[in-house]
Amino acid sequence: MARNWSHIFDVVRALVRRDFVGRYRNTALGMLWALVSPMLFLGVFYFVFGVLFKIGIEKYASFVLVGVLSWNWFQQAIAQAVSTITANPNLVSQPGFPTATLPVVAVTATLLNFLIAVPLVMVVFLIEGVQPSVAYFLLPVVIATQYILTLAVCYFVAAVNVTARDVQYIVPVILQIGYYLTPIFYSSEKIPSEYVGVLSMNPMYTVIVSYRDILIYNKTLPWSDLMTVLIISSGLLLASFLYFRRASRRFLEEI
Amino acid sequence: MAEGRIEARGLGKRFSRRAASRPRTLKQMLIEGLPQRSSDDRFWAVRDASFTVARGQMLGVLGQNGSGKSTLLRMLGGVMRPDEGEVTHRGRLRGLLDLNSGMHPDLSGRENVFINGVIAGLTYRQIRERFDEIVAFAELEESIDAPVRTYSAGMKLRLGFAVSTHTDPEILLIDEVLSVGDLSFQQKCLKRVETFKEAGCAIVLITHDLTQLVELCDQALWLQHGECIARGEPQVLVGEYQAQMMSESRRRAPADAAVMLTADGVELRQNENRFGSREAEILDVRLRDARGGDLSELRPGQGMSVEFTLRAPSPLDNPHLVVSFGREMEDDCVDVSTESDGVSVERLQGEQRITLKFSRLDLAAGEYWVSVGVYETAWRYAYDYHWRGYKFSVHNKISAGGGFAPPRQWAIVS
Repeated sequence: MARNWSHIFDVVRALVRRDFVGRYRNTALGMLWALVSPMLFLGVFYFVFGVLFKIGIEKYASFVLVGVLSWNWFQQAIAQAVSTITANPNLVSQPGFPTATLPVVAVTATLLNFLIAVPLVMVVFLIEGVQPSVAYFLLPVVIATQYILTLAVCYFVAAVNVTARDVQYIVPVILQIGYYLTPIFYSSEKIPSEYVGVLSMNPMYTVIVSYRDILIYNKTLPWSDLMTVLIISSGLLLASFLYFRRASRRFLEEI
Repeated sequence: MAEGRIEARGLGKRFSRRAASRPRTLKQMLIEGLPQRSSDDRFWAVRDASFTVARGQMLGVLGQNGSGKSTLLRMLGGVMRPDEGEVTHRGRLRGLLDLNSGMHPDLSGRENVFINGVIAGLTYRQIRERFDEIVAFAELEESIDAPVRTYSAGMKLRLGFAVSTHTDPEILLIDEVLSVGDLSFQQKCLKRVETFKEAGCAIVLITHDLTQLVELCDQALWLQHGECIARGEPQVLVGEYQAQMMSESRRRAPADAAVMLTADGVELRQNENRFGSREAEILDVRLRDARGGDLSELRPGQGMSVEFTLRAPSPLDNPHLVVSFGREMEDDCVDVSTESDGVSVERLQGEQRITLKFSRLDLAAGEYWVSVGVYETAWRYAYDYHWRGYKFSVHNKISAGGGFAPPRQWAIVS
């Protein structure tokens, strides 16, 4: 079994590398492309809500950037995972290929996009005078929570899309709507209190608030909220992994 | 020494027609309700497949497209669950299925070796250990650091094959990959597969190339509409398969086909010396000499071309063309096809002029009869086949025995 695990690890490593390096290898800007989209979103949100509508959030550029990057990771991972089985029939039909690595590859390759934006975050923090604190050491906890949550969604959409191909068209729409229903460019303090309860049902809400608390506001984590998300996400991951594994027996019949 | 062995017992797989015809969508689900497993919309893609491939044995599977060959291979590979029966195997199982499955065009050959390597079942460490061997086998030492996008199709296949065959297989499943690439590489691949066999690997081969099947396999299995209709000696099965192809061509032949007189004065009569459904027709077959003139007599060492027109009223995808010739009362001594030469016709539509050029032929003297044919993409039947409708003669002042008269010098050293 030990050998098997090292093979699974190497499959993830090779395919993440293929996705990540392959995406930027033949482009003039290379990895800088991973920064272009968050910078554009940052620019637009800053102009519209920071300058035109004056939403009145302090250190607004840092606030928006953290939200945009975190959401982008979530969105890109799911967008890739939804067609990862249907787009790779030749991998799925290869004897001995661990199909369950494909959603992991999607989440991990897009995590790298998230991580290479760190210098951009540092520059924006520096401009707005956001001070680093010891709370930064808690960052891995938030990243791990988001990883588990995202992977849970990815296993589910990847498997369900094999049977019902519509899912790959619905998912981007839902993610687009999620952009507005998650406090990415606005703050939960700005919304009427009766809606806060509903919005905080969104697990990404808690994740993004956690990033901001430790990165921008030098606070500790909203532990109880985040741990709730972590525990629920872990349960979801188990359930969606089991669903994926069950469905994977029939993948080749339908792709 | 490999100790592979794979056994199938009463293997069966049932598909629902709906899943086979199109992916189900939410709209369909809403209209038709949740899919119900009614027995009538399901069919057996494979049924009652039982066989054992012992160490050092090779089983060839033949059958038309859609006869269940790939489904069978997938069940053997453990990537599809049988609905009936079971597969048991001993030893490392590897597939030689799709050679370029994981390749990324913008990455270098080196990086792609690692990607394809893990997909084929190796760890990084194992790939690193055999990296040089893989590159040497693919004959890509010079360009291994160039992006795969700059490789020719042949180079990509070589790299893919090299990686997939450096995986220490004990059981090997091969799907149609031995007839790709140029001829010298094909030979190398075949040799490699034979080495595995000698080392004790159990091999299952799917191929359309019947000659290959006879040459390589110890036993053969014939699938038709998912049923194993025969099992046994490859030579015998291939003979029966070809006979069925002939009768299929005969069955599909139009009843009112007119007799055709060839340029060499042979009358081609349907189902006597002309076969096929006539979905495509062979017209105006000409034999030309090296300068493009009509060929009547060929001298040793000279070249020759066979030219003909194909007419297909409606488009046909990937047909195979064959040309063969031999002396009267003898078997054909030359028998080539677009498939065996790795040439793809892709799409036949309207009229197309085909030329097959032999740069030189060193044939022994005699009168040679040429057959020309065009076959359906899975070799199920002929669209049109002219059996020995054309002739040329080889003139040789000095008569030699045997079939060939290659250029030669004797040296008598005292």
